[in-house]
Amino acid sequence: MRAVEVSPGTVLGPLRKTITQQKITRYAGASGDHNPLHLDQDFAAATQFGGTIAHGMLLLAYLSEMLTAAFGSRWLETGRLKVRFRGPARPGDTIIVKGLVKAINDPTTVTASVECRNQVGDILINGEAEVTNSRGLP
Amino acid sequence: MLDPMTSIETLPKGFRFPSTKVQLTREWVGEYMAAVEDGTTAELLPNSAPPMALLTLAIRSLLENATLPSGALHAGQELEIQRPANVGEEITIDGEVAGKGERQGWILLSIAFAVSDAQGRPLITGRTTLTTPASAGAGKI
Repeated sequence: MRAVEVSPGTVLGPLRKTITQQKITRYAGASGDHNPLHLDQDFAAATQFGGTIAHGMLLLAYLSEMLTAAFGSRWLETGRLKVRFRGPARPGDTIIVKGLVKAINDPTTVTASVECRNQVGDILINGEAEVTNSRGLP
Repeated sequence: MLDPMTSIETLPKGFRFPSTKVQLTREWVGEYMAAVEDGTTAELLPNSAPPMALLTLAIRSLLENATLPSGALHAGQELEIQRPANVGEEITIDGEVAGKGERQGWILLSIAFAVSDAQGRPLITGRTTLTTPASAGAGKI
């Protein structure tokens, strides 16, 4: 895998993932997060969400995968991320993960806006990511 | 020692969670990577764990020390990666309640954390913001 050459305006991704209850349940097992909001249909149906939703950290894993594909080891060694969770991802949703390079500073720091949306365009996560390059080549 | 039945939203700002050591086993890293369907880290750095795997362990470790209302949600996340963790490493997770507030019937709890290696060097640092209904009953997350 090779990191992409980036400049302001470069689009990162998109990465697409489909959410299923099976994936949510598998993530619950790996993470140890057994919140019934993710796993219990009856409990979740009685909440504001009306049904189970994916763990926010599952979506963050998808975001990290997109950033790894875009920036390679720079993300894995120097990445910084600041995001807000804006909406739920539900079983059956297709998640589109992408970013946009906003600036290259000093000149080794790349700043990008990042987001996860569902198939109808609702923002589920948005925020900003940064990577630096100690070799000085953005 | 923190009573594991302590509801997390009752912890005061400045509360420090017990420091926890975790072995980053190949088995668990494999389980995590299968769950998130991500092979990119393994392709680039075959013996490393994805950064979000460390974050997942950090949150899991901190929340094992207390209970959360069942409807608790992840509201925000900040993360700074210092270096990738190697599979097999022992990592140490430290955290504290960095902020706490209530808005429109929801409690916002901010937890600052650091994951470090066996020599005490940081692997990742960050801040997790959780939100929970102010009137919700406590249950294990």
